[in-house]
Amino acid sequence: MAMPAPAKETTAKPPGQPDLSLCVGLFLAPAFFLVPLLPGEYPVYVATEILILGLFAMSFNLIYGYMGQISFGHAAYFGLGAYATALLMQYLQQETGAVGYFGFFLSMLIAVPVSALGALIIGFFIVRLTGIYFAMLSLAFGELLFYIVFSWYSFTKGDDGIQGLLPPAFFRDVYNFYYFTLIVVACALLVMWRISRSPFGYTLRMLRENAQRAAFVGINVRLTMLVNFVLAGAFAGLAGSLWGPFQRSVSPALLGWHESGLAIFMSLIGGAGYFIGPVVGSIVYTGLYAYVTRFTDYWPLTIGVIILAVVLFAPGGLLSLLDNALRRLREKRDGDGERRERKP
Amino acid sequence: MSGDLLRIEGLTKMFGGIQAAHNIDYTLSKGEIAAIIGPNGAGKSTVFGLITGAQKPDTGRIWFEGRDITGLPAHEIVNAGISRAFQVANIFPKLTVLENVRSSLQVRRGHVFSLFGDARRLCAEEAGELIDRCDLSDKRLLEAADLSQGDKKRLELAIALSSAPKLLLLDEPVAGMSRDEASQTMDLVTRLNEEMGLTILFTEHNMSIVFGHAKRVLLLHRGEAIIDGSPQEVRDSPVAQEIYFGEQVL
Repeated sequence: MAMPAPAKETTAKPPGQPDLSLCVGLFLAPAFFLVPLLPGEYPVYVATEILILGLFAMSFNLIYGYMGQISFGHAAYFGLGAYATALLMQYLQQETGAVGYFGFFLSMLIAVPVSALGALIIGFFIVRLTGIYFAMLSLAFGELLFYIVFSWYSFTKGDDGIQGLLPPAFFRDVYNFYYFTLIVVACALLVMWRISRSPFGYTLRMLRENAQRAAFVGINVRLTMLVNFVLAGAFAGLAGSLWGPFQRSVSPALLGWHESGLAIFMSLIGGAGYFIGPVVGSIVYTGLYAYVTRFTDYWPLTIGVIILAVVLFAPGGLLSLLDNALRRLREKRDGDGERRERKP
Repeated sequence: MSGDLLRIEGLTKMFGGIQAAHNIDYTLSKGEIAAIIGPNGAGKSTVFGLITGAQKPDTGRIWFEGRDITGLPAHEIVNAGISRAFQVANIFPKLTVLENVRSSLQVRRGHVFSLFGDARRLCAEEAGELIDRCDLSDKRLLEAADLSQGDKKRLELAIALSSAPKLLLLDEPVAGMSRDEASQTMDLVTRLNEEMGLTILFTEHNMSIVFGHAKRVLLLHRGEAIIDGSPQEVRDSPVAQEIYFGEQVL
């Protein structure tokens, strides 16, 4: 896979037009609800992955699209959450090999504070820097965590990962687990939606737009960045907590830069300037991966071409294409009417 | 002197080998409107930067309302009551005018970490009033990046005012404005001072603006305070004429 494209146009674009995000979200919600009607289990399996990685990419976009910093190590918090859940599930395993319902929910819940704590400790150092230094330091810490998990065999089983994570009977059903994931992700997205429209959400936009002015308005820039970093880590951890029970295993690769790249790709493809952009990116990326790899081994080439096309022809992501088309339609309808307020 | 709003003592700052500010003493009382003048590189912006926490002085102290604010981070100095507008309009370009002002007000009201409040409602009314006062009413829904240079400066003034400052520092508030825009803006600045009692310190190259609006003028030259007096005193001073007005004529 190619190195992630650096932040360019998308960083300057505001997470605007949530009208569009809302419309896309209202369209996607029933679509996701109806996925199990498709024949076979495979589409449900793919849709589960889309949702989990979509949530992970959304959490990344709190840092990228809203705060204007790029993290190359965001998978560390996704992986921390996945491992927290996996290790606790394994610890609470019953004789049957599965974990009880209480243990299952507890294992999932623990991921959020664990990832948040990890993000707090690492973020404390990272938010001292911005731009490329922020990106590089996040990468360094991400790889550090990866190597710890990779090498600490007695605790994490190292390269073998943790296998045989059996959720309780109800959640072993592909369809049930899918709806469970859908509910968790939908709730997380609702919370993020509220945050994006809160004063805190606007504080992040101010940091992205002009951190110097933000400081001279009275914002403690570092503290605000740290709080957002922890929030993003917590949501990434929540996404990670779904991964183990879904895949029945976790491996160190979940913390690696390759996984971090996924969040970046998804945000770029869907549109980092749009609230729902990363989910759209996940649909495209994960969906294509699931089906293209059935026909060809040239997946890196395929996704490389797609990313190239997006960066060249739709630098604001696929949603920006839709957004521009709708705007042109609106302008045609209203004549060259006056500009409206964006309502981010 | 405890009645002073701002008191500066022995302020010195070196950049490399250049003396940007040297042993400057200065006081500002509540309700004053004063200007700092001087040729390019005289240290005007440096003094602003030192007062507002953008830079830390090498030596010297700054008191605001009797509190030592030397070396505090910028955001704490804003919260203490000193707000500034920059020489080149410093705004949030991809946010609308309304969002620029409303978000700044929300910061002042302590909503920075409010995760679930509705940003569009909080402080919206006040933001509207502030925008009206800065003559931007018809542009409130425009993206700040699309404003004219003059409007950007006025928007920055609105942002600076949204911090409810006790002392407002304006670095060349009318630079890049047309003559009409400039006089409109300075009228606004004068009103803020006279009607609301806001203490204002500004720098400006345009001498008619300085002498027309400042009640006190400080002349800096190569980082040193040369004269601090009424506009008339500064205008009549031979030293001032030599280093400043002489240069301007040339």
